Amino acid sequence: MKKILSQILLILVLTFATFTVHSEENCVPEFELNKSVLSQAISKDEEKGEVFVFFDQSTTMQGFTIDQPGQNNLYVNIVDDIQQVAENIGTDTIYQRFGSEINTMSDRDVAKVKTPKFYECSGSAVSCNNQFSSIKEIFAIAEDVPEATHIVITHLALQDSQLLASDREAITGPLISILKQGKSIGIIGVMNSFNGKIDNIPLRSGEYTDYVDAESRPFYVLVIGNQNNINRIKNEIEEKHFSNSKDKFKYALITSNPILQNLNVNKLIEENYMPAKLSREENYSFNYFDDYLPIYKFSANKKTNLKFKISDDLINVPGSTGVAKFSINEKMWTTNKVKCRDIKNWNEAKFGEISSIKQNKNDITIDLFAIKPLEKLFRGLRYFYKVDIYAEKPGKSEKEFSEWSVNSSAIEEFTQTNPVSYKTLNLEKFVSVLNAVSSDTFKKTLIASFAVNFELIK
Amino acid sequence: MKNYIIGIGGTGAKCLEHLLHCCSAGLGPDNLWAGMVDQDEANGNVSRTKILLSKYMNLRSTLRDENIHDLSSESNLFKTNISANNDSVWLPLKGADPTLEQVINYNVLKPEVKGLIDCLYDPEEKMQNLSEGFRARPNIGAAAMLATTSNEEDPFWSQIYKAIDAARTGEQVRVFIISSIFGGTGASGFPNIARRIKQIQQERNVNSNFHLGGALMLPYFNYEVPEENMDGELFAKPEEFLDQTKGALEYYSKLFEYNKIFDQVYVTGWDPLSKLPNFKMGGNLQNNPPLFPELYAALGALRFFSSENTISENQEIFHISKNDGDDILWSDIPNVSNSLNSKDYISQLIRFSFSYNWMYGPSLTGSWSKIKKYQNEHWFKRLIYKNTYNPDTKSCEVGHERYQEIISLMQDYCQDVLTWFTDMQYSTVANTDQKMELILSDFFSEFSPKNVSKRVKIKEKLNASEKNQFNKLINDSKNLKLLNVMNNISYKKIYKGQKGLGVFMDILFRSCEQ
Amino acid sequence: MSMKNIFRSVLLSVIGLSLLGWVSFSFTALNALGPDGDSNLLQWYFDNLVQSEEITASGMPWEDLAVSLYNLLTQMTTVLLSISVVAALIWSVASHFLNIDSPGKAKFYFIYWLIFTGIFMAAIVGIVFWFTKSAAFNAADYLSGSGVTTISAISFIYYFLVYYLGILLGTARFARSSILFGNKLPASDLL
Repeated sequence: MKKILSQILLILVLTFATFTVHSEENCVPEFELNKSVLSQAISKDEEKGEVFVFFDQSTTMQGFTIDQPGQNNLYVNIVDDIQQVAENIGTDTIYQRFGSEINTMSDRDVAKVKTPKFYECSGSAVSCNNQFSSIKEIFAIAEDVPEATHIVITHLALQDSQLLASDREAITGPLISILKQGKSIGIIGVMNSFNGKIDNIPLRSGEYTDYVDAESRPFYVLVIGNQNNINRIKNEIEEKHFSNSKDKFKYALITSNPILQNLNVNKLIEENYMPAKLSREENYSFNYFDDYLPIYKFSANKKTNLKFKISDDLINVPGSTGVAKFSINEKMWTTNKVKCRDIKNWNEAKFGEISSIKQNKNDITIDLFAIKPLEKLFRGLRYFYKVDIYAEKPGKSEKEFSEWSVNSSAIEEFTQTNPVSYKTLNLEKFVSVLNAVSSDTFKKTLIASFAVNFELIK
Repeated sequence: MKNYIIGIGGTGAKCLEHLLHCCSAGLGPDNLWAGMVDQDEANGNVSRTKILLSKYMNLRSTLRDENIHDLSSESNLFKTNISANNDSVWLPLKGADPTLEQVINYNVLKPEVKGLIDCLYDPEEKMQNLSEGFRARPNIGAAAMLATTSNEEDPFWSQIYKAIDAARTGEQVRVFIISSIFGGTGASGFPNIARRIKQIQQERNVNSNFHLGGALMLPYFNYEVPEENMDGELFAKPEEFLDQTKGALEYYSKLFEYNKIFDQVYVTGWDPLSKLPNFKMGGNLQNNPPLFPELYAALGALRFFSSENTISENQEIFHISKNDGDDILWSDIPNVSNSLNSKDYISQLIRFSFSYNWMYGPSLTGSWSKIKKYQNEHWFKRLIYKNTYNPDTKSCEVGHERYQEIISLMQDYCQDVLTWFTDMQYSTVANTDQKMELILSDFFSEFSPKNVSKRVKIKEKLNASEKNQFNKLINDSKNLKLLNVMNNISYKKIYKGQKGLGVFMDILFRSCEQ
Repeated sequence: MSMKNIFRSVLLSVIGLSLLGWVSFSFTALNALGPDGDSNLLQWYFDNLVQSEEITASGMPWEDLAVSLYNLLTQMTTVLLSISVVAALIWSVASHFLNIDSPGKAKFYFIYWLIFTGIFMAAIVGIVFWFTKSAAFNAADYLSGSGVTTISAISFIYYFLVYYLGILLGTARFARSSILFGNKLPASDLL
């Protein structure tokens, strides 16, 4: 008797459970869940590699080593910091100097980097190879040794010819490879005192001139490697020297993937991403489906306001160019049974565009049913609306450096103004080249998915 | 059944007036011959009744013509077929200014007879000009009437002979005479004419199917006689009425005890006496108003004629009177029979007269161009247009003279009805403590008691609020509104056989039934 | 007031109402049965009354959605017909109480009829609006602008005719001049 009763009870429980599960399952149509692998890709690079440090030995760099009265000279300190960090992040640190060629340096020579003598041209002008900074060579090395971290300290003033044709290709080619391998380029700009000669200033006539009256001028630390190391170096420099003078510090991260993470993977989407008023609607609930897709369930009327907001901090890699363009992929299903247990099937709707996405300064907002408003839907039906948010294009960072940049067409006139603080030739153009490459290598990335399941009542 | 009514004297004529209106309301028998007896040929009351009789007969014959206008046999309006001689009044003494001496041929009488005459009559009485009646001298009247012969050739008496002959053939015949017990012509005529009729009946050996009834009016009015210029004049003195009545009643008491002349006698009077404002010795100036007790006599006559009235072998004497109070009510008016409620019929007639005179008659009066504005109304289409349409001319001819004449005649008659009843109502209680408000009449009439020829003036037009008083027209009655009348004329069934204007007249009449 | 005449008016009014009212009754019955897949009516609704593109886009089969529309139309036509019947009967009875007590007075009551009819038509408009435009019925969402116009126009004209025939025959005879063309009716004993 007891056994029979137990069996009956078991059957009842199972039936109820099945029913409940079945009921719940009916509340959601069948659809493909696009699970992102992004966060796996954005995993911490735990392995250390080599660190290559390239010092621009061109003569003009000498000016950073000589103090300018009234100006703060951080060049020496920063060089020290880089040495320290390099030692910490890498298994081995290889120092190199470059001008028109790249040559290895011994550890003993590193200390000379902080002295004017390092930048003097010994020997004849023909044999001096430091009047010209061949940045492309460094990119070639970075492509060859992608697992290493490459740090370049340079003035970054590039001639037009260095950003055209084969020289440009010599930069973009390796850069594509670097970015495709998930590496990034950090550009750290430091406005430093300068007491020396700025040479190779192009004139309209085709000649070149010099300028010796600059008292300050930026130098740059390019870091090619994984984002963690780039961030570490950047943070080290920024925190140590620029906590109170942010205007003398600039930073940009060029990466093929400025997306920090997919929000679904770790269930980061919360109830408050929708307006608080929604939680007071009838039959409201918020749950994760399949431990992945957040579903907001409620009864809506035609005036219900639905806006989904995500903060940029959750999406963008800090310091990166971020995302310039987002898109959404929408799908909607309808059924004329409003109670889940009555639903036998869902019908896929073909409404076309339903919502709009708007990028604000610090967040993105999806205005649900902005294009296909709720007023145009039919009451008495249940709707299941799933949204996938994608990053379409990375942002651009040239504007970050526009203040310190001057084009070749304007430099002559700029120089004639006898500026105290000199700008970097073609800096913006250079960053633009890097951004273009990063944009080309960027893949459309799923950032977040969510769904609303609502019955449209009065 | 053949019915005959004779109104004797001024009172008889006035009672006949009441009777004619009751007949137009449908209270009368199917047929009736009417005649009057009065030496005062020009008597205002007799003339009035003569005119009314003529109007009645004219209207009835026009509206009961099977070929043109027919109310149909089912209609109660002008139900009684009243006939009369060409001259409906019989003068006992013909000739210009006859005197009693001339009538009885005094000069050729034997001396002993002369002596008898001298005892019975004063010289003034013998010489009185009798052309204006017997001046309340029934002794004169009796002698004068007895001196004339009931000549079968005489148009008046030939009707009596015909009536008696008809009884001999098996047909029911009823003859009714009305007169006052006081006064001149009536007092003398009543017993003598009755006896004469009985005599003829016996001569013709008619023992069955013939019945004689009568209504005797005891004193019911008086008047003030002016002192000047009355010396030497014979005239009816009101203070003598009661004595005359007393004497007459003693006489009739004896007469009825020993001689069954009447089968039914209806006796009525009035107390207090109605005070008439004018005194006229006779002639056309003796135009007394209709008074309520006369209606009793008329209703008595109609009751006598009613087929429901079973006449007993024994002589029956009926007294008719009102309630003891000073208010005269509808309940004081007796019914003609179980099926003929006097109040209902008379009320219906009054309502009909009102509706026709002020509401419908004016709409139908005038040329077609004036009338046609009603042509789309249902009542008009149903009752007038269809029944006055000429298929030859393809037009409605209600505006033509021959139709207008009838419409006008009826309007005139309706005014007579309203005047009759209003006058009766005012005059009966004028200068007494009594009150008679059987109908509400102040709003449509003005009463001038001293204007003998036109005591009651009926307003030509009524305004809307006056018309609305229609629903209070008949006192002590459930309200019938003009709306109900309009409703009824739209829905009342048209009798088969109704034609022409008879359709509308009868429908309107029936629509005024409570 | 003669009850017999009033009953007669009511009977005539019912006859008048029936002349066209049966169509509404049939239509209501048809809608009450619900949509039938092969039905011409179902297709006609889809082609003429509803936002067919939106419905198609919603993915929902029209036959499933049409159930509520049929229900809406059933209820709406029931109410409209009832209002028409009630209005016609009220006028037919009330016409017996209009104070038309003399010749030529009926036509002045035309203004009464006009006002009464105006109120009735406003009720029709209001009912149609309530069913098709308010939040009372979900199925109202399916109706297109032209569909609402079609329903409104047909209802307005049709139910006016139903009501009009009802009052044309049912109005008291003496009050016929108070209604439009009422005096054109023949003065027959049957009417």
